[in-house]
Amino acid sequence: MSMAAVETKKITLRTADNHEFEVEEAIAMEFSTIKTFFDENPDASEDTIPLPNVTSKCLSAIIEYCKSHLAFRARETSSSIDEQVRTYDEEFVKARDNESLKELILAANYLNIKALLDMLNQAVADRIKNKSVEYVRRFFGLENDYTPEEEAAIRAENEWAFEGVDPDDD
Amino acid sequence: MESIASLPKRPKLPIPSNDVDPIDHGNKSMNDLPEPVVHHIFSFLETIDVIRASAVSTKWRYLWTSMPHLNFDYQAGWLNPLRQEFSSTRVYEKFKDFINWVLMAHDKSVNIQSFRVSCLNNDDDRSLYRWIKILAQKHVKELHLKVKSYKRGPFALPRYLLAPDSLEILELDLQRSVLKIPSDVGFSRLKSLQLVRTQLLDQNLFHNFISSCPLLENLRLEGCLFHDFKVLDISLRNLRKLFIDNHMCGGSFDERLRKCVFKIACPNLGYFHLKDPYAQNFSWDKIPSLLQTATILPWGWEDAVLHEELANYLLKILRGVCHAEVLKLGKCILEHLYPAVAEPRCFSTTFYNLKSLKLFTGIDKCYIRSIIYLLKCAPNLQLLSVYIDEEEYDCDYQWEIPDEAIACLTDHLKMVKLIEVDNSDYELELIRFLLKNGHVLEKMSIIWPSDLQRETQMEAIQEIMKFPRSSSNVTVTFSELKESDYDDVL
Repeated sequence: MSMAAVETKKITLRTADNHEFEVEEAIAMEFSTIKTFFDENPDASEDTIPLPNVTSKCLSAIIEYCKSHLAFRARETSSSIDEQVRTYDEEFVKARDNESLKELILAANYLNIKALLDMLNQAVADRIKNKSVEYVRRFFGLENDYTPEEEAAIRAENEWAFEGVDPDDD
Repeated sequence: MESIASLPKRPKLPIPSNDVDPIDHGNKSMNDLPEPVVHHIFSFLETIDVIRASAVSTKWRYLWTSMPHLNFDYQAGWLNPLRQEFSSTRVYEKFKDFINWVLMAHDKSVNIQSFRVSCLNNDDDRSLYRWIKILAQKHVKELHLKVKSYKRGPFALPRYLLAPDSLEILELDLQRSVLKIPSDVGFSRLKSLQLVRTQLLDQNLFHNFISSCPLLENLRLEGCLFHDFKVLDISLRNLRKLFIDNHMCGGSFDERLRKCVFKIACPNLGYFHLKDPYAQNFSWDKIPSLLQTATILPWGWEDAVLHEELANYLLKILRGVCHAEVLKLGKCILEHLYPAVAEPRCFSTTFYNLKSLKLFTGIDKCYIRSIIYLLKCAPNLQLLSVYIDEEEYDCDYQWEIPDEAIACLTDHLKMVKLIEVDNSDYELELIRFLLKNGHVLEKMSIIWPSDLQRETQMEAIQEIMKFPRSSSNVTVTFSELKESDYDDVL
């Protein structure tokens, strides 16, 4: 490997809404789906990779996340770095609404970015922990397609599971 | 621009099978999250939340039966409504019934990946063992048990857990009860073993047990009691991380360990953490050459130990970590290092790979001499952090650190951080010495303790800014103590 000029290789990604993003190879390699793709097709690295499942808004947030985490990892490990990572992750999630979280989860799942997916899924879990059935329904946008009898039967099976929940705050 | 259609042979990224039409933003909800993702989200929750979610919609009715992660916590808040109505015995009965029901109704064809439970283990109650039997049949990979036994009754690791031999991670927190280990057995797939607040009775059983887990990479012993152990022998070929922290045990515990010998033979060890009362002896049967980080914070009542004995003990530990890249050392090592080194039989280990050194120290001639000595042993050191534990000292205004060229100061040391610096002569002398001899120093951070008067700070700053510097581009910064400065070391 030449030590003289460090060429940062760029990979081009095209999103669902036809925006092109040039990212450094190191960042693209954080996306396991893309990494595997390149491992199997080494000649394809010059081409533009289409990502029909990811919007530009999503991809840009994901790229920011991966960039920041790569930077954190490059620094020496210590609990003050861990603290900064935690704060960064909290901020990343805090302002986003459920819809935007879902898009990010789907994208992180498709691109197979384990760390981001772990973090996002934990964040969703924290939001729905010990919440009522109605809250979880609204959160995931699911319809209650049970008949009243069916629903009553389910609730009766473990009735105290449905008490003691936190009040809905939405 | 070429379209994909015109190059049919160009490889494409795989598209997930249950995907939604990507441009259709009309379907704004989470209900198209694929099942593995939903499982993943629920894996962070207690099983009670997953059961409750079955009432959300018919789609999720049986989601929980195929959840590979189960999580039950007797201490959790969801049992509070029950606690208001029923006695604690009755509540615990309901808790057990719930776990029984979940395990029985769980999909037979789905294996359990992880099972976490925080429960009780009363004398005549075999529930916990029944659950483990079912889990063994379901090829459980991860088991996290937090068990409280009111009479401190023992917990016996069941043999049938070993039959399918699927276990990879085992964590036991017995809240000070005894762990009975079966003899002549081991887990052939176990990678990580964590014993917290566990009493171990038989050193041979323990040694044989861990030695029969050939894939063990991570061993963590936290708050454990080793009854009548003469030798704590950890000889594991594949061990990467060893964490021993038993300093919170209290009572006459440290007396017991005083008679014990630590033996460590782990050639592939990468990470070593020891925060334990002084034992009788320490031996590294193989010095781990791949060591990256070592933390040594030994602890104990010094009146009970002869200084020479203690020095020998500490130096032995230190010799074994000579390949470390990052080293964190506790105060008593520094207290005994210099005097020991001054003797004819000296400590001549070099830490060639050491890049970062973090020292927890007092501030006294003896400590400073030890610090200087360590700098001499670490020719490639780049970062030095010194955490100062203020204590009484005799002032010696005339004392100066003898001038000499030290390899790391001349060529490598870039950053120095001194935490809780007071305006004492010894601390100022150390700063002076480092500034004078640190030829490639780039940054020195001086952090005041939280109660230091502004006046004292200003006095110290004035002194320090007068010191000659051999590095042309060093910046010296002064700041107040933050929480994040401190938890870095311990």
